[in-house]
Amino acid sequence: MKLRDFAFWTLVVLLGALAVHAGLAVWLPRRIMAGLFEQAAALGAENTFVLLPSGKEPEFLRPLPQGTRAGLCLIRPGDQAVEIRAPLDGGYWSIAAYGPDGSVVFALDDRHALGREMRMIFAHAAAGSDMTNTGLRTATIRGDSLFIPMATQTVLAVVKVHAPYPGMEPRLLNTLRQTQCRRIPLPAFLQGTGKQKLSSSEERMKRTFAVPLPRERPGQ
Amino acid sequence: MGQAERGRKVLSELVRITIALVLSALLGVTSLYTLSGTDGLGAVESGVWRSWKNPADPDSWPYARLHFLLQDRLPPSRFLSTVFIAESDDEGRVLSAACVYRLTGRLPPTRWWSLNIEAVDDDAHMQSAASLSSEDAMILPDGSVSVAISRLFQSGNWLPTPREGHFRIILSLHGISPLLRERLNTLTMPRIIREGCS
Repeated sequence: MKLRDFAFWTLVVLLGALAVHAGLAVWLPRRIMAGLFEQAAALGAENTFVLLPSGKEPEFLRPLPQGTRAGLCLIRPGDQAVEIRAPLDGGYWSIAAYGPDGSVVFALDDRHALGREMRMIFAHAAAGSDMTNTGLRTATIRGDSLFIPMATQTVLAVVKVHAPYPGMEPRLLNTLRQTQCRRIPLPAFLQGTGKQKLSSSEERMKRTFAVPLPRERPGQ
Repeated sequence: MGQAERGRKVLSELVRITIALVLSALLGVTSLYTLSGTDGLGAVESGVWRSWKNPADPDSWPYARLHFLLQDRLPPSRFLSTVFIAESDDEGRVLSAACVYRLTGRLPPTRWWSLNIEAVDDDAHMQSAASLSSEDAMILPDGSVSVAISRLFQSGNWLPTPREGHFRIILSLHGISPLLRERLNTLTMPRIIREGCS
């Protein structure tokens, strides 16, 4: 083989390898996450909060420390919205929502909760007409809820609660059982014709307190 | 050019294309698994411990995320917890269930932490309760911890290992401050000392 041919074929192999590498790097996480979404759906977690029995959590949630309980909700709002209501009653509480590529699109813990109950509304980003300025990683406070726009059709919410001491576990378990995940009609602020529709960016600034995800807050 | 010679040339080109495709696929798959299956790009080392600053961020390199996903695990959100993994002792020897180890030292300041033992081999049988958290652990007066890691029960802080094979230690720091998270490689992590093997 001539040197020129060798260089040509080497370049072809390298470019091909780069294409395979990049393609797999994009495809593989989505493939694995699709499998995890299926597992969550099989557990009955589609738009429903499922508290997982202790010690029988799916592999993808492990390792869970002793005293930690977990629950799942596979959020698929379609053209509606999905609401998660989680009462807080002590303990270390957290929620993380995973997108189809395995990245966390939203995360929150009890330190940053707005009160004794967390109310989150997930809806597809195309559902509301006044959502163009809200990105995937921006949650906005609307009334008593935290609104999380979704750029994808499905996210997997993982709720974890850790009891700081064993005596607290029954109480936390009872609280965790009250956590709800359900489909609801689009709230008025997401409907273009709703009274709360914002007409200008100035009004939007007045009425919408946009907060970046807590994980991006400075000075923590 | 005869028909036979033209046929040979076409065949030769087909062979080259096939070889190029196979090599491309092999190189592409191998490089991806190497980058994500081991430490992955963006891994931070602190002694024998390795961690990732932002494995689950949407705009981060995909390798750290893949590292977790390839093990069928969800990557931790950096806002919630930072995970450190150790697979060898301080002298670089792979952690083995046949040995007794002591994890000793101060843990980075955090809201709470948990230590888990995980078998490297899928078929290794884990003993129950292979976890310890900051609330359960006995903390020494100087703020450090000393945890025995062994197959058989030991008094004080104890983490059971699998009955056989190799294992890894997973330290999760929950609610670590962003300032510390940015300096993961400068954190003083606990040591893992091998005390003996059977």
